Parts: sequence; C-alpha cells; structure tokens
Amino acid sequence: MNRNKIPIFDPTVEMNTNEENPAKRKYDLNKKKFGLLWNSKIGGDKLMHFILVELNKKGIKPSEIVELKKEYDTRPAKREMYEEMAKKCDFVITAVGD
Amino acid sequence: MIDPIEYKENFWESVDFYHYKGWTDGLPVIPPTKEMIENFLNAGGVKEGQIVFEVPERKRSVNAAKIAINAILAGCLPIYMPVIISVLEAMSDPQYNIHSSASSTGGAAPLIVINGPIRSEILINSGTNFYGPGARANASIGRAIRLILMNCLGAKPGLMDRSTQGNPGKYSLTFGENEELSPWEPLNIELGFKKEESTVTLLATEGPHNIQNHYGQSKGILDTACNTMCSLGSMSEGQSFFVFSPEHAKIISEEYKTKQAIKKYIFENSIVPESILIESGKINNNGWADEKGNVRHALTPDDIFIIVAGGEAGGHSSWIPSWSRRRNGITVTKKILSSESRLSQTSKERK
Repeated sequence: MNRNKIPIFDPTVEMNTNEENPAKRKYDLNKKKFGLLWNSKIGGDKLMHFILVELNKKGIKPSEIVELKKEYDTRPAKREMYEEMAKKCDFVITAVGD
Repeated sequence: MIDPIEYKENFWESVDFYHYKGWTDGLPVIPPTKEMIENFLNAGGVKEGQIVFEVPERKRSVNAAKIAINAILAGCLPIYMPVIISVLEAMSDPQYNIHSSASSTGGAAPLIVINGPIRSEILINSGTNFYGPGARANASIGRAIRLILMNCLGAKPGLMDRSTQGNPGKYSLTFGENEELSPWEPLNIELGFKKEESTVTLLATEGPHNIQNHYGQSKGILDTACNTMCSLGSMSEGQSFFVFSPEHAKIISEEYKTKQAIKKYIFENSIVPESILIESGKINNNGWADEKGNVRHALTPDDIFIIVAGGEAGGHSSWIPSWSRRRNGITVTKKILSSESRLSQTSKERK
C-alpha cells in the first residue's frame, strides 16, 4: 500500500520518566547543620550566602555551616566530597553561578 | 524491527518533514528506509534495541536503531558505523563530560581524531584540506554525532545547547592523523594501542587556531606554536592538541626527535604571568599558577597532544584548545571494534 511512498523514521529519544525516590526532606531547618556546595563559578557563593541571609530573616538559623567548593564547575564533585557532606550536614544547598 | 511513524508522498516532502520536525542541523537529510537501517545495524555489529549511548544526567538511553537512523540522515555509509559507535562510547565516559560540553555557553565541538588502518578503509581525509569540505567520512561522521546529540540528547540551540556563539566544528570536526607523513609515532601507538588497532580520540574543544610560519626552523615554528597557545582568549588549565602540518613536522623533527621533547619545550615556553590574567579579568583569584606566578594551558607536558595532519605543502599548523575556562573535559580514546568483534562481545563486556 505504501510501496511508492517515503517512510519517516523518528530519530529522537525521549527522557526516561521512571519514578524516582528523592531523599526525604527536612521541613524544620532550624538549628540544623547547613551544607553549602559551591560549583566554583563566580557568583554561586554569593547566591548561597544570600539564601542563608533570607533563611535567617525567617528565624531559621544553622547550628553549623559547612562550606564546600567543587574542584571544577561543570564536573561532578568528588565522591569524598559527597561522603563528607553526608557525614557532616543535615542538608545541603547547592548553586550554579556564572 | 523499528517501524516508520508515517509516510510521505515523495522524497522532497519527506526531507521537508524532517526539517519541519526540527530533526536536522539545517542541511537537508537523507531519509532512511528499513533496509538501510538494517544494513547500518549489521555494519556496526549491533542489535536495534541494544543501548549504545547512555547519558544519566539527561536521563537518556540511546539504542542502536536510533544511532543508525541519525547516521543515515547525516549521509553516512554503513562502514562508518563502527567509528560512530566508538565515538559514542568515548562520549559516555564521564571524563569527556558530554552533558556539560554539549550545553555550555562555551560552544564546544567534539574533536574526533581517527588513527589506524580504518582510515584507509573508510577513506577519512588526513591530508589536504582535512578540516574542510570534500571527504564524505570527515563530513558525515561528525554530522551524525551532531544529529545524535540534537535528536537523542535534546542538544537543540536555545534549549539544551546554550552556546553563546557556537563553533563551525559543531557541524563536524573529524579527521584522521596523517600517520604516513608523521616523523613521530602516531597517537594510537603513543597511547598504548597496537599499530593494527584503530582508535577514536575525543576532546570537547574550541575550533582550530592557525599557526602560520613559512620561514622558521624548528625553534621558530615551536615558538610560534607557543605564542598561539598563550592566547588570553583561550587560556585555561585544560588539555589541547597541536596538529602539525607534514611540512612543519618535518622541520621540527630535525631537532626534536620525539613528541615528549616537543611537549616539554612547549610546556616550558608557553607561559603567561597570572597577573595578566587577573588584570584582564580572565580569572579572579583561583588561578593555577606555578611557584613563579606563571600559568600555562596545561598542568603537565602530557596535557599537550601532538599529531600530524594536512597536505604535504604549506606552513600552516593548528592548535585546538579544550573547551571551557577551566579543566572540564578530558581526552578519551577508544578502540574501534569491527562488526564481528562487537557482535561477539558479551553484555558484561559492553558495559
């Protein structure tokens, strides 16, 4: 039936949309150990500190602040850094600055 | 077998449909047929549902059938499939950093260097005008990779490709090393592969910077190369490739017999004071200066790759620096497997 017609093949790939289970969120952040992971691009650190100030205004104060900086901006942090964050922080704020 | 999603009345209607859907790089494409897809899969030694390219950051898994469709659209021949699959394997290596390099404002192109006997089998150009038009393998292999990035990873301009200016190499920056006219060992041998093993070597890069010198001797040509490498606009702590023309390579080799000697010379003589980078606003205060306060476009001499390509005549070499202001992508080399070798791989070996 389509012998003389030209077939069209879809060259695209869709994103996998399998359900994922994100880590449980902590809804009471007050007096928790805050982690700040900076991607090392200019401005990212300022954004994170701005967020800290905003949280402070709402009465949310950290018991401790752990600041970490990625070695390279667009590459994933080293495994040791993730492990350090898991060990030392209750939650982590990360930011992309440029 | 993968099925068509619809049919068009004639060739031009189908070509326009691929444009309309945003499935091209701007140039017309070759509409695939079932028979062509089967031929390409067989030539690559892969099954249609076999996953050959995975990018976890984008939650995308690309199977062999999609690779074949994009290769056909790009104008490839079936015999290019082993090269294309090996390129995608190299891109899957986290060191290459495909997610960032394909989306960055830096506008990186995948530099693809081919070594070994496959060069003559697929007629890849490593001679006159190898960066330019004329050779189907050079033009269409790079184009196939670009279409795969656009269609399968979502690297569309303005969406997941945010290049400020882009780079002409994003159409294709693919060529072979001119091993026959090189006075030094070719890249595959240097990296530990056997002479009969063909390889692809990838790095996310800027475009080529010309190194023009028509009267110099060894030192003069290398000093010209060093000066090009010190360009502030491209300065970073990343890796890079010097692509010496056969004429330049011959002159340089009269004094510098090994690649290691050239790398050492370039490393020691391509120096920029960190203060200049800071004054110009190139970097803030997180430089990578040595104890004397100097920076180089390399952390060690081995960050400098030396290859030979080009026509026999002409004092034009080139330098291709890594993409990004820092060291965000690393060179990756993969062996090119024949369809028979790939078919005999176990699923464990594939991973």
